[in-house]
Amino acid sequence: MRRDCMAEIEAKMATFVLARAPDTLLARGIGSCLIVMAYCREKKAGGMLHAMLPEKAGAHDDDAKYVDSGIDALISSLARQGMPLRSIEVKIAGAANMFPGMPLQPRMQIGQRNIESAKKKLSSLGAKLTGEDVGGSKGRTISFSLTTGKVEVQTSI
Amino acid sequence: MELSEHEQDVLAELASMGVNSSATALSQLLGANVSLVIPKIEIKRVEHAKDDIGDPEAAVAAVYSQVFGKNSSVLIMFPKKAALSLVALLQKKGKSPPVFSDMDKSAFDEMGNILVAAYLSAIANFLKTRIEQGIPNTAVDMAGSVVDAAIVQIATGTNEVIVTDAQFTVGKKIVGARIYFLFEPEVVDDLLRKAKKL
Repeated sequence: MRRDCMAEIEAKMATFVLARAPDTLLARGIGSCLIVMAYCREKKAGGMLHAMLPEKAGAHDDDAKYVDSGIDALISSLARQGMPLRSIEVKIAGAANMFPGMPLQPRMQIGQRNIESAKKKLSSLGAKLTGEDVGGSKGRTISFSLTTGKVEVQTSI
Repeated sequence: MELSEHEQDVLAELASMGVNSSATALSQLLGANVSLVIPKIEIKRVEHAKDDIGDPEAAVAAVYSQVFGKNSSVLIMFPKKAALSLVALLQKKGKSPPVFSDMDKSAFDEMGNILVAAYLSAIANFLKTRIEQGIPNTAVDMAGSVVDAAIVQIATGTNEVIVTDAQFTVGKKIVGARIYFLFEPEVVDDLLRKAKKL
């Protein structure tokens, strides 16, 4: 089925979504969550993961809630759709510290830990990280065009 | 952790007590009558905390504070406009400022601190227990970003959050707020145990 009309599809917290051109994937109002975007230029398709926490601890939880297991799930779903890892570029955005005045132990600096977890996972898989806009203390809205592979990040206020 | 209906009722009751106490504190702070309506109290999984937030990009002002010296916290969130009008009332200014000046921000900090403290102390008093409040912190940004930052601080140890919608009426102004009470399972057990004894 051919669709000419572009859809904007939102990736809700603790989920990932796959889509293809001409659609755009969206994550609105992101704080310390990390958004991982994988793009296959050849197929003009890809996916967006909206993960909350760095590492999956228990087996019972949803994969997409966590950066490490979420990346695995996203990458293997794309592979099943005929987009093997070698054809994929990855970008990450988000993971801000929204309350920078709060004295937090390193264990509780979730934004920072989300970034580290993503980089560790991506490098262990051998994935190409081609762009990032992470950290800081501002919320972000992130849009990812499957037509161009371009990611746009907006902050407010 | 699965909460029974009765347990959910007890937690909702505690949350409503907390918000009532915040309304009283607000009234004392502003030196004005404040009436309170609570349209909704819900207990939901952390993953769904943002589902009915409305526009996740809407501008809000929020106060976040960790509590119990444990893995728990409270977030009180106002639409930015509502926060600015409260700040104007607090500083006896006739008109709300369009944006937060440093002065407004610190007035909002202070007010948020008092509202959170009132919320927690009502629950503590009722349960005859001590609740320690951490240093509060404010953020003015998109609603979604503030809520997810607050819940991930706690989501490592918990799965549920109590979400309370409150409408404070100050004079002719209606100010909506949303309060998130996030807690570890042990804190809930503790609250429920103490509530049962009463």
